Amino acid sequence: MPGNQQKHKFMTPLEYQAPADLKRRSKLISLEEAGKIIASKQIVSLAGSHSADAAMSLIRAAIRAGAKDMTLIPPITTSMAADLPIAAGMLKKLYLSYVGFEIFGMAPAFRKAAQEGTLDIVEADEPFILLGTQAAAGGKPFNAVQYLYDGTDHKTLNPELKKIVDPFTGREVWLIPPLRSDVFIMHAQACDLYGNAQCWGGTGQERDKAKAADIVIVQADEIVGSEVIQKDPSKTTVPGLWVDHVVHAPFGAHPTFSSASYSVDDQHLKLYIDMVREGRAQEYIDKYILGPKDHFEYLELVGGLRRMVDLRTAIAIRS
Amino acid sequence: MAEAAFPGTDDYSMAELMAIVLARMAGGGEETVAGGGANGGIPLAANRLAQLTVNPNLWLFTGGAGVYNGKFDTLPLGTWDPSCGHGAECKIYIADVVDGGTKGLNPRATRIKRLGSSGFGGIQVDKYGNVNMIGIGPHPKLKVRGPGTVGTIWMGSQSHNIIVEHHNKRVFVDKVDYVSGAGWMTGGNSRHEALDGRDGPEYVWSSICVCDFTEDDHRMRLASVHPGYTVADVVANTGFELVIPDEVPTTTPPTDFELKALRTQVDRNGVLRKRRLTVG
Repeated sequence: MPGNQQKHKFMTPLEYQAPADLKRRSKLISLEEAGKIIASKQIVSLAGSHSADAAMSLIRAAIRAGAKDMTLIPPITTSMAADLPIAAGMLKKLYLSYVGFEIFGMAPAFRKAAQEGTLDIVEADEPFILLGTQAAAGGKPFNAVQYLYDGTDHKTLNPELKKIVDPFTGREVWLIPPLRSDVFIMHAQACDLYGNAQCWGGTGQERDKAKAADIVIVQADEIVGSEVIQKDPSKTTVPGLWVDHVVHAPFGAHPTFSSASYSVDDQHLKLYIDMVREGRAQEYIDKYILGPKDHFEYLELVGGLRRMVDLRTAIAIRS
Repeated sequence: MAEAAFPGTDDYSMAELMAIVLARMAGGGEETVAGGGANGGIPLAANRLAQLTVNPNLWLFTGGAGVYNGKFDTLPLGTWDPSCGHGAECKIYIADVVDGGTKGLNPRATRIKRLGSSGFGGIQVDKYGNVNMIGIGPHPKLKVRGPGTVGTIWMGSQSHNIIVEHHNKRVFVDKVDYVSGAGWMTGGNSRHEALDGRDGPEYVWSSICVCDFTEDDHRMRLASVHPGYTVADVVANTGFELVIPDEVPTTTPPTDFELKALRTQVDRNGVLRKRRLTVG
């Protein structure tokens, strides 16, 4: 009887169900595999903040894998994580909240695409992205916001905003649609093989973005043992069960900051901005994105371990 | 099987058998989420046991303690017991549970589409697997005030099983006084029509038997009877007409391997061994 095929699984004792290998499944994949997964999707979403904690190695891998005509749901503020994909022709549509390089100026590829009309831009903003993501995270039909948009031109410029009468108060309120994504890609400082990802900074957009996505891919500066994660589970930003794939990408946020880990590479950011402004975007992409065989060759190209250690030291000196 | 198993005997308790039977449902390498409940020592033990023996990819959810994958070997008082947090890997927030539930995936966590062996209980369960945690008698002056419905609403977002620790006619009733967790509603297609095509409960786990539901009417049907009890015992203690197949097997009793694993790796303090479940 035991071991035979039973009509009901609960009739078969555990020892007859035990798998040959009781090892927990690792979610680790190569950066190249992750790039292909992203490139096969339509809607990608990102976390990070300004020029910090951007999933740059995954973005580069997606461009290498030929990602085209995607829609981006960015974090509420971002720089190169939106500008580089635009420069590389990876994006068709952008939910805009803020794309710029702050102290380094405007985002050159974004600006050019906007002026030439080659990018479909939704005039979104901070609450639109946040509340839309929240709605998608919880499967809600929409999210509501009080009067605020009555004071701005979003209501005429953003056709995705709708108005409805709030049955509780009788007042009109603005509705924001759910912003789901096919794939959410994020940078973490540490992650275990099972996807428990720890961010040492950031703005907390990761959790809802993960919940609002069909697939979640984490790039981590360090892959750590389970015991590191278990030391303080409250530090785990995104639970592993929401994560589909993990990529080991040391210095993967370069040239942006990695919170509490290494500094922004301002020289490289300036180099990028200058080249795109001079109309040499393709030259940059050929040299830094398509040229290197993999992430390690990219790191060599931008200064290697010596430069990376300098960036680490820089953040220590600053703090 | 005994209502409670005392040291020095070869008995296993009803609670131990229930935990082992539930653990068997969680076998396979698939990434699943499973937990327990406030008073859910049985499913909690079951899922920890399954994680250790048949499914290393199971995520053990303990909502009240707010963590995943606690690595206890003595059984916590329930999923709210902070000792569930020993060796845990991440925090989980009830907001995540609610997001998952309203999304209609897994109420216990967003994004995982498969659920392991968890279940809901109630002060009443009826022949279509509807659950009542509200109360008995006219509302609001109920004769018996239930504790409140917490998360039983999630029975509507996905197929959830039902766990009943005390098998008697007061719990198993023809029709629940109030529905706080939707089972197969009024049978037939009623649930699929009302709840976006979502399936209802698959199993009812009780102290003396396991039931499933008929394919078309979705009426509760006896699937197996636990060792030491008979079909007549089940019928005599159920307040509605169960569908009884021609042949009803006896539930495979716990093996030595299963009891040893449960008692040495999950429930070293013998909570389930001493726990008394009842019939009648």
